[in-house]
Amino acid sequence: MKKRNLLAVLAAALLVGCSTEIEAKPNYVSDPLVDVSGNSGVEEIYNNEFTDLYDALVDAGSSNSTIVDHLVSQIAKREIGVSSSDPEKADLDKLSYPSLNSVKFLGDDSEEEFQKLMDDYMVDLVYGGGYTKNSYFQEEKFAREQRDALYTVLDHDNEALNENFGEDLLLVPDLTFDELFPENGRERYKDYRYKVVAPVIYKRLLTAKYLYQNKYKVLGRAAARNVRIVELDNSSIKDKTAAIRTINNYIGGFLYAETSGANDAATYFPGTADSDGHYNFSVDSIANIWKGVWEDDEDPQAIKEKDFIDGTKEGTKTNISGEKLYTRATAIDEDLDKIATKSTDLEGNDSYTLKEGLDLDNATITDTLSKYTGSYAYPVDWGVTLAKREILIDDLVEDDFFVEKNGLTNLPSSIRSRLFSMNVANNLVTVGKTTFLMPEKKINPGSTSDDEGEETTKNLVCTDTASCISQAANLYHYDADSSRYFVVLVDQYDYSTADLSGGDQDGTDTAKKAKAIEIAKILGENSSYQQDALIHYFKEYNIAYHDDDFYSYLETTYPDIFEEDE
Amino acid sequence: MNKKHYVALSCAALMSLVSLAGCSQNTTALEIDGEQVIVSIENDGSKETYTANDLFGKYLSTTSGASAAFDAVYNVLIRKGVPITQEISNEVATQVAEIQQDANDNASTNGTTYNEELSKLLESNNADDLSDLSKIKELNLQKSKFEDDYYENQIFEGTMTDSITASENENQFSQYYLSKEFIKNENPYHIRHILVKVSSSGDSFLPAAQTISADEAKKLANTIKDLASPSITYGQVAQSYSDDGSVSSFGSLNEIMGRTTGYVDEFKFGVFQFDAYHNGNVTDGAATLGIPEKVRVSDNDTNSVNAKDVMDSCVKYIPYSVADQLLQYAETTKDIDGANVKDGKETYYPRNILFNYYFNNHGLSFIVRGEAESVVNNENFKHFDNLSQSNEKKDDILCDENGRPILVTRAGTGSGDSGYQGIHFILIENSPLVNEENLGKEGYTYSVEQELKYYSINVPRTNADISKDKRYVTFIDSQRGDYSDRAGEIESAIKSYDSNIRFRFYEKIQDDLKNQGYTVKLDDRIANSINTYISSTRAQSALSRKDNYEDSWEAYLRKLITQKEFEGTKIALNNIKELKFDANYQDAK
Repeated sequence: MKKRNLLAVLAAALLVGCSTEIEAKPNYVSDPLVDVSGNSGVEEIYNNEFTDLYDALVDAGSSNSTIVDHLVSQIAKREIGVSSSDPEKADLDKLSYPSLNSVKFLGDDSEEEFQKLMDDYMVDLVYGGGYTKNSYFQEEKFAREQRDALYTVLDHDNEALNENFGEDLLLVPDLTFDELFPENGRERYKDYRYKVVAPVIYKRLLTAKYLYQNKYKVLGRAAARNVRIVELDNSSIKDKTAAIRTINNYIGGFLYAETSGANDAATYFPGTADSDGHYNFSVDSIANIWKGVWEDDEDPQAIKEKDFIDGTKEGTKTNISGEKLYTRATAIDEDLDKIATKSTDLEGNDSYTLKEGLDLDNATITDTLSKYTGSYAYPVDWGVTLAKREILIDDLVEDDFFVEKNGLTNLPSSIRSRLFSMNVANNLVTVGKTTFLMPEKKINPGSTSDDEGEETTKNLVCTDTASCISQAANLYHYDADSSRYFVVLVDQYDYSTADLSGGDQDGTDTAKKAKAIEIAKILGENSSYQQDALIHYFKEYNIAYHDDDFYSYLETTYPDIFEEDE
Repeated sequence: MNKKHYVALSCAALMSLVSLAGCSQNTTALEIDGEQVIVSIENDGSKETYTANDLFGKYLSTTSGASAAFDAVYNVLIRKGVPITQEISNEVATQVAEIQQDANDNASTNGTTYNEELSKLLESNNADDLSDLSKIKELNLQKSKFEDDYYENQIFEGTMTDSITASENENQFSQYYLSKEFIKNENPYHIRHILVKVSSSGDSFLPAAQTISADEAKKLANTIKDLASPSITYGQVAQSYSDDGSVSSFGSLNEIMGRTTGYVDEFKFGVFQFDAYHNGNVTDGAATLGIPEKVRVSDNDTNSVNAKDVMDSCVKYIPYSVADQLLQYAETTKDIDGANVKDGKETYYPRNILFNYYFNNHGLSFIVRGEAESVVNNENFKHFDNLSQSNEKKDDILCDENGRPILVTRAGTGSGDSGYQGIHFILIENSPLVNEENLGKEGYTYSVEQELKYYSINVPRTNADISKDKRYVTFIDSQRGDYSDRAGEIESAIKSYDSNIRFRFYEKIQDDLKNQGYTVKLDDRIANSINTYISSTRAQSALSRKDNYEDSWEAYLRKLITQKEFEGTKIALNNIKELKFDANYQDAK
């Protein structure tokens, strides 16, 4: 490309006035990219100017959306404000401005809260997939991706190019940021966090603030719920009543412990009671029992759960039915029993060897062989290892704060509608300190989606083991279409418009304010609301445009910015 | 943002802030502290700006931006550092004239004007005008010249009799550095093979999947018998039987096999295994080739197994007489009474029992003399200390006419037209770990120098005496055209060895300019971006290469363990007798 004569262009522009577009360029566009100096001074070289590189990058890139993102972050910093109590944390301070608004979207230690939000973002990325090998999280894979994108990532020795990222980690549910990114992960990924993650968080928070201040009614209509849910999928298990027996035993044991008043009340429940004598209903424990494999077999809770599965121990019942429960691990054992012999060494490690004389004309046998060898790519022992890891990393539990919009979309619609109903209270029943979302009808095992089911009851007091087991059907949900069972606990649901009344920015109820802001932060992840917020703040801020192309982009992409408010 | 010119008013250096209304009436040019502003926001008396400098800085921190900066700087350096010879000038003129002629022709064909067509052609060449086009063509030719010269210096082009030094710690721009690095890191092998394709499935160790046709059985048998024949060379057998494209080059692969060559694991790692554990002329082979020591087969730490043990346990010895048996039973599908056996299941045909038992081995196999009368004095069978099961003649290994053992393995990928399944009979024509001059000597270490010569791209003149110049290029005593093709294979392997070769060019042209007396200084704004891009890309490539290699080994070793696990599912040889295919059948010895 030819060199440009800026003075000539300037002269032309002055003569013709509006015929020239305004385009901002770096002030060093005419500087050489490289100084090549010889005996006769700096050499003239064709296309050795920044302008060529800048033009090419701008033409090929997404400069306008980059600028928009930057503006959103800048506005968010002003609107939200992140302040550090630690004066040495200068890096984040560079990004932050004092809050210009009385509403605190972040707590007293706003920096820590902001960092925590960035932690959560990275944890979600890890669970989003792509960084594991054989179910183990490999931090080096994550780091490489960021390094490929030219972010500075330090390894555990604080080296920017080396790869000491420690041991791989089995990606079981609920690992924390510090577990996934040990050795001061925040610091080691600082470059990536501030350049990539922080703008995402800022956008969310800005949107949250927009909703809180300008669309307060939206928060009350969001049908926010704080829930704990466990899902047992029976579809691939041959024993069609396996999951329901697990649930009946767990819930039955719980009801017996809570309501029977019997001397042996706590005997059949694998959880503990609090100081008030109420039992801890754990969706995680149900998930573990259904899985039948533990990362740490020696953990006391794991031992309790294993006993619970066994049904009896030394002649005494260890669950309410006394029946041995079928788990996903049982399914593996049954499979293996067809093809392999298990042996256990002195340290309790199992290993498997193929049985002799297998009937290789039997499709069940050959299918199982293929299943546990990855189509003959690895030995059965390794296949079992992989299969058990798959179970361990499967996340069967949801334990979080959700809103109706885009929340819990994996739930069958019948459960969602009951959960997010305005009249959700009618669908709940509380036993001890645990509140259950009840199904509309009791659905027995083997039911189809056409079956009407029996009426449920909220009178869940039971005095003997058999009646406690039978009461369980009032507390679980069954989706016949997918053969999935759900237990839904609702810990908090008082987020309606009425519940939030007085929590807006002019209100005085700090507890309600906190609730409203919590909902706003969830809704802030919604892209539609994010766009609304962007338009709102771009209008509110006195934005001056100094580049025709950028102005034209906004006019086309976000025409509402330039519309007068009604 | 488009590329239209900006009215910066930057000439008015005295002004710290300049405004000029834009066409849309909604924009005004703004310059603050010398930086042109794209957009500014103001709220509560505080002003925030985003400048073109900010945007450019953002770009340079991305991979695409750094890559573009790298290309731009490289082009500048090439323009300065590579002289424009008369040859280049002439070629530029020719190429530009051709485009002008094309514009004329297109105008005539399309009923348009010359200028319209020229405009299109300029755009497709990313040129503003004819002058710009000339500069682009000139740059391309300068680059080609520079890169060709680089390779000429970096790839050895001598003969086996040339004297060279091959220090491992020398400057990366010194002679043949790329060739040496290729040899040290890629461990190139010159391999020959005979492939006998079979129709059995490759992805199962179950007998039902391991059935072959009568013709395939015969071909397999005849290949072995001819390989053992003292009157036929390995190359001639390859030409007669191989189902691979290398049939025309006496089995020599038209590609150098190195660590990263995408061959099936059984083939590549079988060769590496032989050199590492069975080749008496190699020391430290496993370490040199990067063979893993352990493979894990469960979460139980104590259940890791030694990789060498896994490979050793899969080494099989196939008695020569199996070839006779395959021929004998190739067509046999019924018992001696003419009745179907086992409901006529192909799995029980004798040829399939023999194939599955002896040949379905994804590890290494060797043909041994056994007790067959016909080969009792055959000199193609030899004893190898680290390979033969005993010193007895029956355990001698089948070799080519030069006494090199023939490696056998079952391998394949996919099936039908989308792949192949078969038995490879492999011959290591040249191993990087064996220095011919040191064969059999104690304390041997492999020689980069020796390999440098072996993979020289020197093309002998027609009818040259190559008897003392045995190299990859001269492997086939052939015409000059074939030598050139083989030299091209070496060049291709060495050039593709480093996927980031462009960084070497970049460093070399800077070095050249310095040697020409120039001082080269990159603008600080892009220097960091480019340096980070280069170091990061190089580091990631090296790590990916290492990971891929280790993953392949892991997969291969697990496959061998699996094969071992399924050994017991094979149909026993004595079924051939017990099912009355032949009352006099005896297992091969």
